[in-house]
Amino acid sequence: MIKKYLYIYIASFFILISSAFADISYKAILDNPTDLELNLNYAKQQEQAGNLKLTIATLERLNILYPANTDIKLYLLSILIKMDSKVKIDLMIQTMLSDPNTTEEARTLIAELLSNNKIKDEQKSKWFAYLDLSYTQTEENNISAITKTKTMLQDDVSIPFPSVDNKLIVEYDKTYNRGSSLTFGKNINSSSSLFFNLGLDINTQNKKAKGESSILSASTSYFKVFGNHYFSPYVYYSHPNYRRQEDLNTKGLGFNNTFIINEKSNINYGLSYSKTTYDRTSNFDVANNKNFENYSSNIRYNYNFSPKIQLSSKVIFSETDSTKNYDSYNSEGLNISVSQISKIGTLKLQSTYLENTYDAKDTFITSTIDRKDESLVTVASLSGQLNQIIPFAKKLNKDNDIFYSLKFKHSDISSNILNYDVEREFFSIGLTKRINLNELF
Amino acid sequence: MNYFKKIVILLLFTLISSGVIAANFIGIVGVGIGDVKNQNNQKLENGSKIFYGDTIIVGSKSTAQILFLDQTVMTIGEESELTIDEFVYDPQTSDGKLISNIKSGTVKVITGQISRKNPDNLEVKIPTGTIGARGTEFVVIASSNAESTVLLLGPGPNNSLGMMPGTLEVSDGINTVNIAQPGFETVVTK
Repeated sequence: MIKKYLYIYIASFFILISSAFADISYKAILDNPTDLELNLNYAKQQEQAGNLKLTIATLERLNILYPANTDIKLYLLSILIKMDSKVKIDLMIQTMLSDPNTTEEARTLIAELLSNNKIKDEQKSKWFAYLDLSYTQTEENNISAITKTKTMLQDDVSIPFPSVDNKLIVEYDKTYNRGSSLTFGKNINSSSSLFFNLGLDINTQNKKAKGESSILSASTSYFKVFGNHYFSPYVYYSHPNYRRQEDLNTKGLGFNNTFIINEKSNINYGLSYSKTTYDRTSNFDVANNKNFENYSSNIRYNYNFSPKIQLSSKVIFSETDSTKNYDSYNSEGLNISVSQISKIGTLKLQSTYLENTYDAKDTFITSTIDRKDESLVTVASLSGQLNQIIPFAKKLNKDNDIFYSLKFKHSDISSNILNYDVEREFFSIGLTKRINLNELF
Repeated sequence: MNYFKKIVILLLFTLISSGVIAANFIGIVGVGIGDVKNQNNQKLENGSKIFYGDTIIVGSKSTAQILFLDQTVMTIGEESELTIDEFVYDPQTSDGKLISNIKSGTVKVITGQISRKNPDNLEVKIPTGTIGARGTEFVVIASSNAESTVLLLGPGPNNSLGMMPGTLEVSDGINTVNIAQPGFETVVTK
């Protein structure tokens, strides 16, 4: 199973890499630096390959050579906006608007380009805020985590897994998530920012009676740049309120730091701690037996093959200390991901392998086997602006503030205890509308 | 036999000399508008080759763009003078070193493969100090021998391409200033 995913991974990786190859060589440009068609094609080719610096250099040269060509100027302006080069954008616009050769059509296009960039400009104001409203539908083939063998252990005896009744035990089901997330913050200065987030998620299920929830969450994070270090400590709280299940509260804190080695590579590492307590009620009088604390650390290495293609690998270590020793375990694992920015959005493929070793036997299940799980979770996702995948949506999405996401996830847990030997597949589709609230400040 | 020797010597001489010339060819004038010349007062035009040690002098109401073999690009504004003090580049490994000296005027630099491989190997001297650049685009305005302005252009932190923001390290020989925010500048004085 692991080999199959590894092959898919490697194949996808090479497909992504090969798509970045160029047809027109830099030598051809050195031989013909003034050829309009050749250089324009080269600029487009370099843009597609993500080499925006060469696109800019080429367009600036063509702009000097062909000063009356408004199309070159507009193309250059659109690239500068993508690069967030504000000084050059301002200069370019001033030049174009004061140029009598700039047509009304070109002026309209400039206004459109600037309108698309408006959100970014507003983000640079001292206070900022936005509200994300999302709707996600997830289809799952095994929502009750029915074991692969359809059997389970109880008191060292193998018994059949409870049969599907489409109410308590369900295989295929749909989950509907309605989410709202308010983010606001302040750019303290050019190198530090403070963020606050409040969220409410409501999850309902089509068939399964247990597990529906509403989740309240809050978090605060601080972001600071020290030289090549991008440091971010954070604290968070979440309170899932489950129907027909124990409610719980999680409080956590941690930090992440990204160290930029060079333009192509960076290292990210983090430490976190969280404490989860379950609400003890008359219906769930031993719920607090599930309380646990988690200590987690990870280190990730990111390598940018080009500005559009990134390969990333992460090593994960965590320890979970539960009130009951049989729920306490150590996790070790590895995550590998590759992502590519394309015309239709960001494509990401990732696999996470984890090995969980438990501290004690759960004698209710088995008195002889020390539980050990291995899991392989593979995710393929595509996300971006709605306009990117549905061109005619541009009429509805004039401010580029509606985002889509498509995600396929396969989870394969191999456990030496039948009860946890489970395979599941998920497919989700989601839309998010971002409402800019900067005008409130 | 004598003819054979002469032909061999001639061939060797041709090969060696062409090799030397090829080694010294470090870039071209991508565009040269107006009064653009080298240290020998030779006019530089579109496509003219640039050699190790060349000085590029751009006169009034003129402009030039130099494309180096490692994809570093320097756009030189009017009334500017730039010397290439060192250029070594291996296209197979992207190893190399580029040291340029902006003596006066305005020069915009887009970093190339040498800087990408090792940012320390791109050095831009200005009349009042030196600049080290990491994956970025910047402009130098050397208004006099006593004062130069260095402005970081991009890419910015909000770029939609997932690009790492560039950084500059500007030194006057005693103090060093890091610029990581596009649009920010520093004035270096003597």
